[in-house]
Amino acid sequence: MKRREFLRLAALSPAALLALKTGCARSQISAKRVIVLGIDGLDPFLLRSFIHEGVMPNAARLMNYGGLNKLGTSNPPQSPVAWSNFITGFGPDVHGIFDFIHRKPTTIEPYLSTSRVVGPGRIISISDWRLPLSGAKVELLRKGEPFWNKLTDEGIPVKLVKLPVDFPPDKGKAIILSGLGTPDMRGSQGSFTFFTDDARSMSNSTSGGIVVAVRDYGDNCYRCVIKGPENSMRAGNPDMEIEAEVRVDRVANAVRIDIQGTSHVLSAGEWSPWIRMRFDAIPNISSVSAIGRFYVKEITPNLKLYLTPLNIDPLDPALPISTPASYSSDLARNLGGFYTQGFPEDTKALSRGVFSDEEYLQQAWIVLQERLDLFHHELSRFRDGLFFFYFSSLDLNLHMFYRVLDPNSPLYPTTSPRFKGAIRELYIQIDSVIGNALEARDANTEVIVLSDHGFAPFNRSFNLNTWLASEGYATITSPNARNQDMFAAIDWSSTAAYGLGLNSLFINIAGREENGSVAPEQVHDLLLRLKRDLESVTDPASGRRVIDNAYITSEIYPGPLPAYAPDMIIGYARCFRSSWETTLGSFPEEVITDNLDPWSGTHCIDPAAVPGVLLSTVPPGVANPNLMDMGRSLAGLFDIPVLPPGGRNIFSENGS
Amino acid sequence: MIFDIIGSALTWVLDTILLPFRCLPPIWGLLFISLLTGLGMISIFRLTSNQEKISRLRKRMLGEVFGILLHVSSPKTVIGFAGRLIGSNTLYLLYILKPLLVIAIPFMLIWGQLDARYGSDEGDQNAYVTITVRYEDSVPKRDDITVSGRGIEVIPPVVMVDTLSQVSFRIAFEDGIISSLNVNGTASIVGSTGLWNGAIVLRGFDGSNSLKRLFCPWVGRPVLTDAGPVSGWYSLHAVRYGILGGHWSWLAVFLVFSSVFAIAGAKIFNVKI
Repeated sequence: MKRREFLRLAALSPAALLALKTGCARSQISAKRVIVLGIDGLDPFLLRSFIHEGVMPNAARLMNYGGLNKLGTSNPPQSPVAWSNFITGFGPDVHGIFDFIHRKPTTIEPYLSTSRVVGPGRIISISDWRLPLSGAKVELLRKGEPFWNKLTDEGIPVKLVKLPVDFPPDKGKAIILSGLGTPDMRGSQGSFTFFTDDARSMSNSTSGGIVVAVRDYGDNCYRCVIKGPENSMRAGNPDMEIEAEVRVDRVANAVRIDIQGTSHVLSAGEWSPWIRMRFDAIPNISSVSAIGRFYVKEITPNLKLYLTPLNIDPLDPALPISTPASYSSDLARNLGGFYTQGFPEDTKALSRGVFSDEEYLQQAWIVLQERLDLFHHELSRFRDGLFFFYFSSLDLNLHMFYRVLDPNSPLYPTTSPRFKGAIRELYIQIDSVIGNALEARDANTEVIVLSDHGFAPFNRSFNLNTWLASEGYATITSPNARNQDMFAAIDWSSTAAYGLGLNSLFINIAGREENGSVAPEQVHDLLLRLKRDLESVTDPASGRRVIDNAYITSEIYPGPLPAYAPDMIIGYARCFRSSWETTLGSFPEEVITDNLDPWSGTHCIDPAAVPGVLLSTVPPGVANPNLMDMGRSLAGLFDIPVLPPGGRNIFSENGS
Repeated sequence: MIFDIIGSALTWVLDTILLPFRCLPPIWGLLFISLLTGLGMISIFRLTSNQEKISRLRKRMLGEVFGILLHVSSPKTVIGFAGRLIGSNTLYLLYILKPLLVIAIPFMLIWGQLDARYGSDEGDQNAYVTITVRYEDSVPKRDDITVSGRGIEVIPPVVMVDTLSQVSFRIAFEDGIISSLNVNGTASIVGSTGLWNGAIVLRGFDGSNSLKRLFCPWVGRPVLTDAGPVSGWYSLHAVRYGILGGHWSWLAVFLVFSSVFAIAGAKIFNVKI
């Protein structure tokens, strides 16, 4: 090598290395960038009205490129089903998710439809210690191939942040942080703890959280036991526990919370930062880390202390929440702790009166702020490929505050007028996110905003099981037990059909259900009769139809269906939905009642009534785009030889 | 005074040893210290024990174990061997007592240094740090409590815990990492240096005992007044280290790995233990 050539190479090498390190080289190779904002519950009608009002200028800008399109949702239009449609490009007959909850056909025992924990295989028992020889694992129950595999196979970077229905996250080449469906540390979808010495707040209910009675023995100190996850290393799997001492200064109206050697001073009405808590399975050797935040609701006259559900610690996750595993800890090191549970907004705390409207909105705002920090952090690092970011705030807050939008809501008159702008404010925040995405856009970048479904008011509750009993499709033998969950009141031997879940109806088929009473050959006729009867139900208060469509599952999904699939999917009319009681198999007295729960908005009705939204810098080339088309369409924006099989490419002229 | 000098010298020694590890995650520094400690312990053991006696005793104990195994059919003989084995074990404990007592002193000094360096999370520099101070007898009246500082902002409220003679409050660091705090005239340096390089994390102050500073180097020396608190501590998270699927406290890491390194050192350098 000549001396001059050597010097030239020596000079260029550091520059080349630097370019590789900073990603400059990669961005020159792959020109395409696609930013996808998945906004759960973004409603086309509300969006249009806010755009016309002029408070969503960025959405209006985006609308100018490709219009405001309604995006066909799933049937039933529930988030786990809809996002599974998006991920796989197919319906529930392929990905296997039909509802938030499924049931074991033989025992009718319900379980979460999206994931399950499989215990360790072999265990050595020594006294009451149990030493597993293999670790327990969590399984994703969603089937089907994610659309982004076709992109990563071609070397296109894919990052999906807070991706719904992907817990535990896919082990492919994409970078993923799991979202909706991620449990808390106790394995639930979010279970708060409320410590109080106020007798009026005591409750035996465990829905969404537990109320723990505490007492001040005169030393201004409350000892609060925090229940953690089950200890699988002890016989009987007892809950792991730690204790927090809450020392109260009633003059300062403040507390000091001492927990595991750390202290936190908080005034009444104040939130703590994320506090790391360690639950020991074997002291000093094996433990799991969780994070939680305290909220001091009240100190005088009674202590009212709220603790968020114990979230999986992103810095040291006890369960897999990201791919690669180090991704969540990288985020936590950069941003601090954040909600990792799939349903971060604590709607149950509001429904059960632990939170007031104002406190709920405060908590929801904390969630949104965390999510915005995460979004800005990741957007600033986005160089090329596909970047998907999911926002849950709109969905959960519309569930809780639709009552401020709809004068017909039974709760509209009692909701303070100062909350009437809450939804509008959220839409404005989402608009600023759209604005951030558009600002990051260049000639090679496309921006797509989509939602899984729209929204509708939930003013009247339909007790499906009560209706089935009143029409002779189900028989109640224990009237005293009719308000108990899980069909405590039912006589299975003379029951033909039952409701479980938000939109699901099942036939009690002999040979499938343990106490089945309907012969398989009678099922189709029974379904036709049920369809006719259900679609003719009217609300005596208004005379309106309660159910737009009762879909026979095998007709809309003709492929072979799993045994847990519902036999009928109920498409409620706008303003109606199944009651909370009926979703878990109880039989309230009345068939239709006013919905007096703050959970006043819904999308679990007929899919035609709650389409989602598609806003895009690329105009759709085909009519009636559907959520199932989006995976193929997004992949089609990149130059790859083979597109995912499901759906259509709506950005091409012929949809291929 | 002498304890402060010894403590400072020990801090300097550890700082120097850990200098090459300042850019690595703290676990590497901890493992290196465990290695040195293991080898140090085995060297002290070799120097302070009678290796010949231990070697002979070990052979005798082995013979007694074989005796038990070979005469399992004769309970009387087994009991005889077992009795002798217990006697040999007692003798062994006596042989190792002196080396263990010699090892204990540097071990305790190392313990304090390592706890100061690896025991606590350095915390989020952007978040508040809760400080708790303790008064000798009772807490002064609320209006008489004064909290101020340089380089820090004191965040209200001030919580009084009368039953424990304590007062707690939060501070936010305004600039830099070393600042000063003054509570009723008692002044102390606050703040923490980064855990990343294995330097000492300051976690409180105590004016009661100089000897304590030798074994607890994370405790600073305050300037005391009669009205002010006698001690104080800052709320920092205990840190755990992920190794082999477990989450280990620094003490568990140190004990396990220093023992492993000591046993390996004994094998390599032919030390009878």
